[in-house]
Amino acid sequence: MLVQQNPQVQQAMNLINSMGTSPQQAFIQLAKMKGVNPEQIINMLK
Amino acid sequence: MDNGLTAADVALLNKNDDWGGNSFMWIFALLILAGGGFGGLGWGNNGFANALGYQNLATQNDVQRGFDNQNLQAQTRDILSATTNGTAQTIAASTQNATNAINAIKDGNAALIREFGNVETALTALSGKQQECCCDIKQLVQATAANTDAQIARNNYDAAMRDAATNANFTAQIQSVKDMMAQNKIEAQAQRINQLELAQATAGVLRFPNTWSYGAGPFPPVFGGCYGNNNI
Repeated sequence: MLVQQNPQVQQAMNLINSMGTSPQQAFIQLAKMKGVNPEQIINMLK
Repeated sequence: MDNGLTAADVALLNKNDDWGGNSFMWIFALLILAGGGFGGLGWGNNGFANALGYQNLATQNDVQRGFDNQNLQAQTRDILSATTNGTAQTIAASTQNATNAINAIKDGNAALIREFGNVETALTALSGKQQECCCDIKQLVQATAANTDAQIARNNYDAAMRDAATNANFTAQIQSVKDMMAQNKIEAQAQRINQLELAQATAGVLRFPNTWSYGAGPFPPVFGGCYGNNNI
């Protein structure tokens, strides 16, 4: 339901699947690639 | 394999999941990086890009480009991997096929060479046998010829001997006949000589008649004395 409503979720899931890593690892790698501090985003989401 | 992560990243990965193992929270985090998961919250290009504390946040376009790039890279990797594998497999298969073909040809050639060797050996043996056979035949012919000549000579000799014997026989027979004729002639001559000598010896000698003839007597008959006793 969430995927159908939000295509970005599908995109994120596709990215994770294509990378062949866990969601957590994918997030960290992407954050690093973009120069974003992953801890910062985690803290903001808590 | 370390995916380019620092020690801090590893520590972050290995610490207890901030959300109790709920992977979807990480997807949300990704969406934050993408800037569109919760559009009304104002992340990304919604006016907070340059706000204090958010200087290092990626813009929505950046994150989207990151997603797209990541997808593209992943797809490219897959394609390259498949191609490489496929190419490698194809090359390996082709190489194996070529190797198999070459080995088959080599084996075939080796078998042919062995066969040729066998054929050559057989031909050599056959040639030797032919020569031996030829020698045997020549010797046989010569021996036969010699035998034939000898036989012919013997035959001729025998024939000559037979002829000689026959001739000698004939000659002997002829000679004996001649001798007989000569002896007969001699005896005939001797007998004639005896007759002539006898005739000569008895010439003028009165001979007592040695034949008697009886007649009617003189005409007219003389009566008196003995009847019919006339000396003619």
